[in-house]
Amino acid sequence: MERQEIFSALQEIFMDVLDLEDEVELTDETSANDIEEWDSLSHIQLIVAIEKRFGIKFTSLEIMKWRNVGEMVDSMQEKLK
Amino acid sequence: MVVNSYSFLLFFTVVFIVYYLPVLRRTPRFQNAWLLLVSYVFYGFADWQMIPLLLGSTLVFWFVGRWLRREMDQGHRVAASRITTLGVVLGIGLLLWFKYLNFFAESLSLLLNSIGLSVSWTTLNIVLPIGVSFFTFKLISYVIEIHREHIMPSSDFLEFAAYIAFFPTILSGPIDRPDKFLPQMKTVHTLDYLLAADGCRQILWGMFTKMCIADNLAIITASAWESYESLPSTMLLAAALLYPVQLYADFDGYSNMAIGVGKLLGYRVNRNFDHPFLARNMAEYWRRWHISLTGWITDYVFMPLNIAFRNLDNWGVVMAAMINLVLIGLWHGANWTYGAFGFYHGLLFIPLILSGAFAKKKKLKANDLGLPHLKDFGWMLFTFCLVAVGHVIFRAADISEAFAFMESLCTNGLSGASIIDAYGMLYILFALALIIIEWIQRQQEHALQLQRFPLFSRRPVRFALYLLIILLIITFTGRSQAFIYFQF
Amino acid sequence: MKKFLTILGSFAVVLFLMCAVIEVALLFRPNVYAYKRQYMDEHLHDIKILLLGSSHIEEAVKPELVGEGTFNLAISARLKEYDAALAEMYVPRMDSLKVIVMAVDYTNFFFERWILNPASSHHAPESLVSSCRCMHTKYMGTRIDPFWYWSEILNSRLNFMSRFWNNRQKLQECDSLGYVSLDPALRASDWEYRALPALIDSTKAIDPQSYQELYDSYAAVARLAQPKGVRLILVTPPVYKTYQQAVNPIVRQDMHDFCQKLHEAYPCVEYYDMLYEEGYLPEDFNDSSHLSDDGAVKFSHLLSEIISRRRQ
Repeated sequence: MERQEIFSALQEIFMDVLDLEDEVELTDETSANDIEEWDSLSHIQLIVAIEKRFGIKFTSLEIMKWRNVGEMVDSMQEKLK
Repeated sequence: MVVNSYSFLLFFTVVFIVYYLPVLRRTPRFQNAWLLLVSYVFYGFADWQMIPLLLGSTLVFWFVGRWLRREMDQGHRVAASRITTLGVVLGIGLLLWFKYLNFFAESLSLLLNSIGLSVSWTTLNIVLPIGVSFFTFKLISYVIEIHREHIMPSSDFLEFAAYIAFFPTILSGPIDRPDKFLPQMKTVHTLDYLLAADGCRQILWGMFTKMCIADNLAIITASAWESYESLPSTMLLAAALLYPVQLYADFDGYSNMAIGVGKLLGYRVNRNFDHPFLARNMAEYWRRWHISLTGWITDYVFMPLNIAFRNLDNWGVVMAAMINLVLIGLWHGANWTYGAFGFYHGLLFIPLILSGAFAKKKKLKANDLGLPHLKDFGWMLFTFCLVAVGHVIFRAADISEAFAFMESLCTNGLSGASIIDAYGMLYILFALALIIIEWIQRQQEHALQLQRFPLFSRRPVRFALYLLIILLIITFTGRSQAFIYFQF
Repeated sequence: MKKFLTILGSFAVVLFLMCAVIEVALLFRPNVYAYKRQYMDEHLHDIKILLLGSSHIEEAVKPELVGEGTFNLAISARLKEYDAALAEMYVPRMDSLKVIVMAVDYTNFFFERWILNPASSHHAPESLVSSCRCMHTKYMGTRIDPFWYWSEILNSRLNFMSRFWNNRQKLQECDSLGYVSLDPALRASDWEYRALPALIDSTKAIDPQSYQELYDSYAAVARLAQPKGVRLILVTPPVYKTYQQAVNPIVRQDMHDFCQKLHEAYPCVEYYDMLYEEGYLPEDFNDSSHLSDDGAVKFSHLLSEIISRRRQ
């Protein structure tokens, strides 16, 4: 799957799970520090939503490795090959 | 050697002078080697027989870290996971052996005895090494962070060993993480005036809260706990409300001293407290209390559990939080009261998790008068009371004593001896002053960061304040006794 | 770095000045050590009976009941080496001295063999050794400690700043002849279990160094008394039954042997063991090992009888 496609799909998921009013600009460097509503609890909810939407399963290690959206998308790309 | 002692002053003067000598500032390795040496000397003063343990575990984990990285480089994911698990098990095992073995065995044999199986356990003579709760956590987090690819293993054993044994924090924390601390060891440290001056002020503040407030409140709470059956409820209530303040003043004081010493050496040590009594719910309280510990357990227990339970919705989070808090409780010592303390807090998290308020970080704003909003204040008071109840469980020698204290608190009536004399009233005033100062300086790392007050922009005024604080420390440290005799 | 050191240095100077002012100002505030020193200096040639020791003597003997020219130089928490030092300072110059009374306390005979007594209702308080050294060095003029023991700010564990706002009577603690009175009405509810001695681990051997140090302290006083024909009366004051129950007969025998050894070396030494003395009621005690005002009256009469040789 194309990186751009993943990003736009993530955009929707973020807006939905985090209940965001305004559009959020997700880049490779975006992390939880940049979005106020993105806390530890909603992080889990995001992951559940992503796994459901894309039909993939992450390992715990993968999830704990991510430091920003870019690394998250890298893992997703690998899974979606 | 406690930080607020003359022997430490002497020790640290030597450390400081040599550390900043030009010859040692040639490469970071020299400064790290000096830190390593003095840290082991410091640890030796506290517990020289455990030096082999400290050194040995440092060596083992250093090799484990390098081995792990090698396996990861070769793509052996399963082996890497196994090595990480080995590291964690070794670290936890170390902790369990020294701290909890007797406790588990006694509890087990009590359990077996109660169902009819006659078992006896001779308490092993296991000495608890000082600081083991702290340095094992540093070692474990090192291995885990390598596995999560957040850091590379240290290439220099001197540096790694100095990090593990770093003397300001080895005995009582804060627990520093390798990803924040190790990079600081890669540069030469020249004296940063602003950082060092701030460090001195932080040490002074820490000494004040510990010696003037905590040690004196301890007199009141100790007498309350000694004879709670016969004291009036008012006294017990006062003791219960003062105890969290005492604990805070003590531990925050100690942490401030440790962090201040670190700053004098050019290191930024992990923060441990963020004005916990300003918390408006229990989740916020735990984000403000003993941050280095709760952060550690959150990153390495709570998050993985959360991730593992992620398909169980809120109840997954509840279970993870409960386990998290029970472990935080038990970390404090080998007693069921600590577990019960954790469990109590876990229960308090349930409504927060179910309502979603658990992870929300609401900014704390003041009203137009600079005071907290009434609603916020109410929640702070309520949270404080919940914390005070938890601390009764924490302080008791066993669960039955906790219940007995609570019962006495509720039923003892209003007549009886007083444990609060004139000095006691003064110490309570100090405690109240502390809380007010906490509010006023809520945005600062510690209370003596006074840059935003024009009054304190002039050095003579600041000096006068520091002298006043030292005068208070001199005046109120030491016991006010009418008669002193040797008792042995 | 230079800036840091200069500013730190200037602060240290100001701090030192503040501490110096406090130390000097304290010199002018009354305290029991200064009072007793002054009394000794003034009445050196009048004193016939000198009482040395710690709280067991300070709070147990009323000088006016013992005899004319008696002074109670004992002070709570005093270590034996200070009794010896004070004797060395004063005895040679005391023309009228006839008797020195020193306590032989059960608690001095542990010699590193002690273990905590669970029956004791108060845990051992913080060690006040540094306070003892400080107060003696600063106010009584003893010179057995290094110079840094002079500073109360560095050494005293007592709430010394309270001397600035308490009145003279409270600060002096003792009456004009050095006696400190303990009112039995004010004693704690658990008084029977306060000031109980530790227990002895009989399997441990006596530490020879601490034994020798104790012996030397008494011997030093005996050496001063002997040539002047002064009697050195060693006495163990009465204790309450809860204390008696904790007394280990091995240690009691140690005490007797010790005093016997002293007597053989210095015939002026006499020993009177009053640990199990009869006739003392509960009201005579402030806690298990300290006599109250009533008890002090009885004990003072007893001492008076010993001194006038109406009792052996």
